[in-house]
Amino acid sequence: MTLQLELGKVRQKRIALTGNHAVALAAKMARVEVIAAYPITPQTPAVERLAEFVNNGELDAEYIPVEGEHSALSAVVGASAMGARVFTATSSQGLGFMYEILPIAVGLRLPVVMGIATRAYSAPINVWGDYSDVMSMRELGWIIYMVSNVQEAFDTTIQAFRVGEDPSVHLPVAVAYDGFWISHVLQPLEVPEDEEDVMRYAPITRSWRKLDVDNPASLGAVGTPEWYFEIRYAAYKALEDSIKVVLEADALYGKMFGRSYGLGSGYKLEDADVAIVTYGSIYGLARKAVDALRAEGIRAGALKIRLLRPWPADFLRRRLDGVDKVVVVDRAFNHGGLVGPVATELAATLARPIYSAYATIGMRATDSAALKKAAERVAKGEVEPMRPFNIGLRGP
Amino acid sequence: MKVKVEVRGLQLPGARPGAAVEAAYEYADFDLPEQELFLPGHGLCASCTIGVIARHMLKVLGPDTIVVNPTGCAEVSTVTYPRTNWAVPWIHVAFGNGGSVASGIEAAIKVLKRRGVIDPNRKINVVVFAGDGGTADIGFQALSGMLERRHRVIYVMYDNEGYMNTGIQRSGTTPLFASATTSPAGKKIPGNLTHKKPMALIAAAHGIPYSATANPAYLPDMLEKFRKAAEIDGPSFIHVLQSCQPGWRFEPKYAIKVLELATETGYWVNYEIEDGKFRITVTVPRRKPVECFLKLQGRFKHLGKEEIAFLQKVIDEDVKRLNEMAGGEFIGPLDPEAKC
Amino acid sequence: MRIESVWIGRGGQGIVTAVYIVAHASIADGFYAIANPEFGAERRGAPVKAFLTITDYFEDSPEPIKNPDVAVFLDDKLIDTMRVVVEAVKPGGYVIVSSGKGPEEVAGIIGRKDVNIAVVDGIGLALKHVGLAVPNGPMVGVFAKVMGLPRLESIKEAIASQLGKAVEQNFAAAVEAYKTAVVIPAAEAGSAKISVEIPTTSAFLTGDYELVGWDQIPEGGLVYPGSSLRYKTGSWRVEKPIIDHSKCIMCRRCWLFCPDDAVLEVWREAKGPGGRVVRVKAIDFSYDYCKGCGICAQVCPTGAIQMVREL
Repeated sequence: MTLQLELGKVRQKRIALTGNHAVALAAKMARVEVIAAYPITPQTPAVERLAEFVNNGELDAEYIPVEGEHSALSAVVGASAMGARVFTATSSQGLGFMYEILPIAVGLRLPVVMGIATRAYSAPINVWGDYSDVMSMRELGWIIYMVSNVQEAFDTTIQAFRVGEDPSVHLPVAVAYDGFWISHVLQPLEVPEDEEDVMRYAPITRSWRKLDVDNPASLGAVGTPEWYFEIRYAAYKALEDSIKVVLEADALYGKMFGRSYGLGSGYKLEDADVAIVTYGSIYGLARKAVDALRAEGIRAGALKIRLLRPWPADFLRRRLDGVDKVVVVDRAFNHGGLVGPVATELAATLARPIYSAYATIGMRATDSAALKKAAERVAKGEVEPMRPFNIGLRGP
Repeated sequence: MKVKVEVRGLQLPGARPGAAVEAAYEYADFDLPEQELFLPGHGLCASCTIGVIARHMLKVLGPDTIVVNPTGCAEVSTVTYPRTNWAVPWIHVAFGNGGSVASGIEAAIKVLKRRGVIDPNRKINVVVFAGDGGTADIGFQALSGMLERRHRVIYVMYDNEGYMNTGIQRSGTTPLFASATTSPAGKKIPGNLTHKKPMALIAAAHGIPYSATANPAYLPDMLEKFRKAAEIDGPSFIHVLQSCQPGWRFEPKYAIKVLELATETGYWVNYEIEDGKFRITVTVPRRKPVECFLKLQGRFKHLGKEEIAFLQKVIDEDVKRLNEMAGGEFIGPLDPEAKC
Repeated sequence: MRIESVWIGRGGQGIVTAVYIVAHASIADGFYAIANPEFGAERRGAPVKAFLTITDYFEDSPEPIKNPDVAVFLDDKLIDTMRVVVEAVKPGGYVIVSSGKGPEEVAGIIGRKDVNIAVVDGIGLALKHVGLAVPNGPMVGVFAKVMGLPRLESIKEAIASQLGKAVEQNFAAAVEAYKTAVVIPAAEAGSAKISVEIPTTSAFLTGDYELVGWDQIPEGGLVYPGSSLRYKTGSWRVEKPIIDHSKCIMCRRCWLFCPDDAVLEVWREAKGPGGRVVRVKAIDFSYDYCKGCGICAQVCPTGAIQMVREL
C-alpha cells in the first residue's frame, strides 16, 4: 500500500496504563467502529474501558454488549463484512467458545482485530495467564502476535489494524498479551498525542469484500470439494505472504512513532552457546537469566518470538542457527505431543534436536533464577533434548 | 383462502422469470414489485416452500436489504460457489449465530451512517433468514441477545419442523409424535415426544415491538407481516411455517395444501403481537379435525386413534389459550364432521 | 474380476440404496464390493451419482471411477445432462436406462453402437409394485440380469436388510425388471481407446463453470447475482405443467406459489372478436427451472394446469 506520509516522529506523551487499558486506548485511537465483547477475566478491564470511551462520547462507535463470545466474534464478523473497522477481546474459555468462528473470519477474509489477554484453559478452572488459549488457534489462519510489555501491546494493536486491513492481506489479527502479567500490570508507555497521527498510520482501508446494497454479492458460499481447496488456499497464501506486510507496517511504525519490534528480538545471541527462547512477558526474565549466566561464564543468549503466525522461520534460523543449545520455555502444554508447542515448531525450523521446558502453566510463578537454572541444566547436559522438563512443577 | 389479484396497468412483453406482475390484494394494499430478488436456479427440493417465502420476503423488503442466512437448507441450496440465487447482499457465517451476525451488521450500518460512509437517509433492512434449528435450538442464545439488545433486525424463522438439511432429524420445533430420524416411530416410542417451542411467544416475551406467526399459504397475511416488521424501529420476529416434502412426506403438489390444512385445523394459528397487543390475524370459523392435516403426511402415518385424539386435545387446548389471549373466539370450534 | 459401475439418478430416487443393495447382495454371493455414493448438499430431485465396484478380491480404498464398465441411469432425462458418463463407458460395456420410452428410442438417445444397452420402465414398475416413483429396485434387477450377478435371492436379502420395509413389493419390482428388460447388444466392437473420462467435479450441482485456479477466485469465495441462472433445474423434472389457456382466469395463484420462479407471464397471440389476432397476457412456464413439483396445478382454481409425465 502506498501512503503519502510525512515521516518523522510524531508528538507523543508518556503515561502509565495497564496492558488492558493500553490495548483499549489503541483500539480507540484507531477509531474502531464496532466493538462486540463479552467480559472474561483477565480481559475485562479492556472492554470496560472501551465501553467508557463510547458512552463518554470519546469514541464514535457502536459497543455491542453481546451475550457470549461466540456472538462477540460473530457480531464483529458481521460488522466487518459491512465494512466497519472492528475490535473484540477475550481470554481462554471465551476464545474456546469463539472457536467455531475463528476460521470463518479467515475464510471470509475479514480484518477483525482481537486482543487476547492470555489465560489457561479449564479444568481446573484457572483465570490466570498461560498461553494454552493462543496455542489452540495456531492452525486457523489468523495473524497472531505475542507481546512482551504494555508499550508493545499498545503499539502492536495499532499495527494490527494496518496489517489486517492491508489490501494484500485481509485477514483477522490477534494480539496476545499475558493475562495479569501484562493485562493487569501498570507500566509507563508513550502514546501519540494526536489520534490523527494514528489514523494517518492506519487509515481504514475498507478494501475488503463487503456487503453493499449498491453492489450486491453473496459472502460465505458453500465450497464444494472442487472449490474449497482453492478458496482456502488463497487465505493460506495471504497469511504466508503477510509477513512482508507485518515487517513493513512495523518499520513504518518505527519511523513515525520511534518504536519497532520486528518478528521477535534477540539478546546476546551472537556468541551464545545456549539460548533461552520464549514469548510474552517472561522475555525480560530470560534476559536477566542470560546476564546471570554470563556472569558465571556460561555464554547464554535469549530470544523472544513476537509473531507466532505467520511463523517467522527465516528470522529464527538466522538468529539461532549458530547457537549450539536452544531451549524453548513453552507456556502451554502440548498434550500428547513430543515437546512443547513452540519447541515442536522450532525444532522443525532448525531441523535439529532442541530442548523443551514447560513453565508458567496456570500462571505458576517463575523468575529469572528459575530460568537461569533451566538454561544451566541444558548447558551442562543434565537434560535430554526433545524431552520436555518442567520449571516449577512439584512432584517427581 | 381468498386471494384475489387484480392487475394494474399494462405489462411489457417479455418472458423473463416472474416478470411483469404488479398485483394488489383485495384486503391489503400491496404492490408486489415485479422485480425478483430471489432468482431461480436453486437446489431446494422440488416443492420446497422456502422458495415461496424467500421470493415474497424480498419482494416486500426490496433491494435495500441485507440477508443473514445461518446454516440450513436455504443456505446450502441457494449459495454454492460459484452461484447465488440472492440479488441482495447475503452472508453466511455459521449455524448458531444469525442473531449476532445481524447485530453486528446493524450496528455497523448505524456507525457508518454517522461517519458518512453510508447515506444517513438510506433505510437498509437487515433480515435474518434462519431455519428452526438455527433459531429455536443452536441459534437460540444469539437470537435472544439480539432481541434483548433491540437491534433493528427482522428475524424470519422458516420452520420446517426438523433438521431437514442434515436429513430429517428432530428439532425443538418438531411436533408431538412426528417421526424423524432421531425420533423414529418405533415399536416402543411413537416418534417425537416433545412439544413445539412457541417461538413467536418466546420472542414477544423479550418485549420486542413486533412478533408474529405466518403461513405462506396465507400470502397476504404473511406479506403484511413482513411489511410491518420492516417499518418497525426495533427487532421483529416472524415465525413462518414451511412445508418440507422429504421431511413431512407428502406428495410434492400438496406443499401449499398441507399448509392450508395446518391453519384450517388450528394446528398453526396466524397471529401477531404488536406492542404487546395480541391479535389473531387469520380467523378460522370452524376447525377441521387435525387428522386432515396429519393424513397427508408420512411422518404421522404410524399414529393410531389414541395418539390422534391426544393430538386433537393438545390443539384444542392451544387454540383455547390463543383465543383467550386474543379476547374472542377467532379460531372457531372443532367441526368433527368437516370434510378435509 | 472387476466390475466398475456408475449410477446416475436424482436425490430421492433411491440411488444410494440401489448401490448399497447391489453391493450387499454381491457380498452375500461371496464377492467384494465398494459402494461409494457421492454425498453433497443435493436436494430431492437434484442429479446425484454413486460408484459401485464389485471384485473377487479385497480392496479397501474407494476411488472415483473414470471409465466404467456399466453406467446405470435411473432417469433417461439425465442422459443429456450427464452425457459424459455415457461417453466414458468402456466399449463393450453396458448402459442401463430406466425409461418409459421404447428401447430403440433410448438407444438412439445414447447414440453409441459399441455398448450394450438395457432398457426398462423402472418408474412404471416401481409405481406398479411399490406405489412410488423410486426406480431403484427395478434397476437393481436389470443390473443383475445383464451382469449375471448378484443372484436374485441375494438381492431379496439385501432389500430386506437395506430397506427393511416393503420388501416383497420392491423385490417383485426387481424381478419383473429382471424378466422384462430389453437388452440391445452392441452392434460393433468400437475402438479400444476412449478419450472421455468422468470428471471428479460436480458441476451439475451449480451449472456449468470454468474450473479456475485459486488466484482467479474472488477473495472469500464471493459470488455475484445472476450466477444461479446457469443452474438449469428443469432437468430434475419428471412431470411438467401444461396450461389450457381457455380455462385460465389469470388469477396468478400459480405464479404466487411457485417456489422456483418458473411461472411466467408472457404475451401470446389469441383469436379476438371477428377472428382478429390479438395479443394477450398469458401464463407460461420456464421449463429451464421448473422442477415439476405440481404446486401450480394443485393451487389452480379452475383446473387449467395439468401435470403430464415427461418422457
